[in-house]
Amino acid sequence: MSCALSVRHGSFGRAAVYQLDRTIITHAHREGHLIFYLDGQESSVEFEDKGCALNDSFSVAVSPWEPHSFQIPPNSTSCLCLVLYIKPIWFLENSPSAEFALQFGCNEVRLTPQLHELVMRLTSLLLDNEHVDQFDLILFELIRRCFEQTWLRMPKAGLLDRARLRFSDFRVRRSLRIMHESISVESDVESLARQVGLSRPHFFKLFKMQMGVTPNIYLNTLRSEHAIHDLLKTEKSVTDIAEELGFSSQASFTRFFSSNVGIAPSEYRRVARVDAESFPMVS
Amino acid sequence: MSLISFNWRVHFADGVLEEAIGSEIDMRGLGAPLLVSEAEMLTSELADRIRYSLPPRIRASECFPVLDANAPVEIATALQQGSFDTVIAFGPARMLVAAQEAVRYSGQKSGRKIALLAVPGLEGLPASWSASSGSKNAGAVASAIVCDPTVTFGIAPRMTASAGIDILAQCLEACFSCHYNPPADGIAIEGLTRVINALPKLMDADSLDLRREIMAASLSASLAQTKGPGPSQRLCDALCEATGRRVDRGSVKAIALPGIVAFLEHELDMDKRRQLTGLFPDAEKGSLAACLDSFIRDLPLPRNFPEIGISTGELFLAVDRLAQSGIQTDCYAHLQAIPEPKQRQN
Repeated sequence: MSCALSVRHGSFGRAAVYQLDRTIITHAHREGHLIFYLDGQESSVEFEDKGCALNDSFSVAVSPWEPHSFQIPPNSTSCLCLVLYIKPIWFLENSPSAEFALQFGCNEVRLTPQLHELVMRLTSLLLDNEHVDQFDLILFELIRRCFEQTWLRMPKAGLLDRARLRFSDFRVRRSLRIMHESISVESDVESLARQVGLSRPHFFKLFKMQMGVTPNIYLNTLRSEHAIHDLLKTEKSVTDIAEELGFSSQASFTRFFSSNVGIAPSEYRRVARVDAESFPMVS
Repeated sequence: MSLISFNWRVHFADGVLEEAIGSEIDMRGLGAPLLVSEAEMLTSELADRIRYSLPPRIRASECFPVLDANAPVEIATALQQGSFDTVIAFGPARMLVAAQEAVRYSGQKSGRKIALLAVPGLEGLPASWSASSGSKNAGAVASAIVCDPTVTFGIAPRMTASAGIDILAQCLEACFSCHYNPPADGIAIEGLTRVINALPKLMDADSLDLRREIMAASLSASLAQTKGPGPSQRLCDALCEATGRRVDRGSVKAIALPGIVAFLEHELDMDKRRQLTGLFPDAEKGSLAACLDSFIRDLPLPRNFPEIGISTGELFLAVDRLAQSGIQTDCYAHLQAIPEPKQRQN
């Protein structure tokens, strides 16, 4: 069964060491996402049109809202990996550029000796579970180097056009608003499409074209984020959180959480460590 | 001027809007925002982007008054009716001013601290913000300002040209001010350089790189206004008062600025005049006013006041108000007396 050895939340986002032995279905994050292989079974991350190997030579970079799934061969041993979810604003505030939020040029990151050393140092700090000032510095350096590597030989043109496209249709904008307001109910795409005056297929196509993910994946991301927030910053039971999010049972919520986040919600709550500044609103 | 004050927190990047608003709300532990802009912005893309930027757990209320003198009262009333801890003001500069006034008033009255997050549009930040930030009892103009050039992408060339000239005028007039503020002088030159280079190119083709330059120039112009508003800024204010209408500041400045500069440029020392003239593409034309006039003529902007609906009578009324307000006693102390109406007709 997949488990977490360490999870840390901070102003940077989230960093975790996971031992994964099962596939994580297609999902997306609002953060920039980096996955580094540490040990065990080699695996891969699948995108819509390609797959990227995850092994001791290659890591994977995933841009915000880019759909992807984690694949591991069935009946294999688990894969130990360092997983980062980086808030674009944190990266931007530390980075010298004012041109792009955390959008990677490509998904594949070749693990150079320098990158490997940074990955090991970061993993060690995470597993030691100590609050070390160096953590953010090493983390930023690792992400910066990966980010720059993904843009080598890649044209930047067109990236912002895509970003700008996200909000250009008022019906998609309206649907986003409805989703944000009705996160706690099991909204179905059919009724969402109706509410914005489109047929289901047209809505699906338009939403995917503008946001990069399907409405279902978008809603799943919102629910996962909400669940993580409640698990870490409230005393609510897993059953209560499941109920608030519209799941019919704790079991179905656990299945949803495990297949989207990678580990069970109770396991996540047990392992995660939260810096004061990660959820200042509650702390 | 002995007090130099720049107390601003600014997020500046392409596409930073959503992340910056979400981050400011999280970082400050805010949970009850009031979205504020003018009525015309209610269904705009910018309004939807700001709604989207709020964390899902947060429900925002909204206040979209008609942008007139009553707007601060409407916003303050909305603030008193709920227990808001944030105002997110976006769009026209005057709406940002109205929101700031309402936040200050409500904060003083209720004793509660209300954060103000400001998202400027094409017009940029209010000129009065930096001018007021120098006063000893002024706090930060806003808790945070979010400058995202993508919010200006696609705006028509005519409106862009008007906003560009507004920015240019603010920077140029800061260079004429006799207030001693070396950082503001440098910022004004930097803003001028950006707007002079980017604005003509934007008339041919829209580009995010150029939009970023204009927004950066706009931020520089706002910071340079620490030295106080210049004559064209005051002329716009006087015209608003005289006509009782909103005036297109960029258009007014496009018409009036070459004349103002022709009137003032001999007050500048030769090095400064040469430096400013050299920023324009037609620097060989000689005088700063001639270079400026040539620059403005290539832009799709009106050439005279009747074209923007301002009659000669309204113009004279505004100039008289300007004269009475004591323009020459303030930062433009070197400015000679404003000509009498008969001289003006010439």
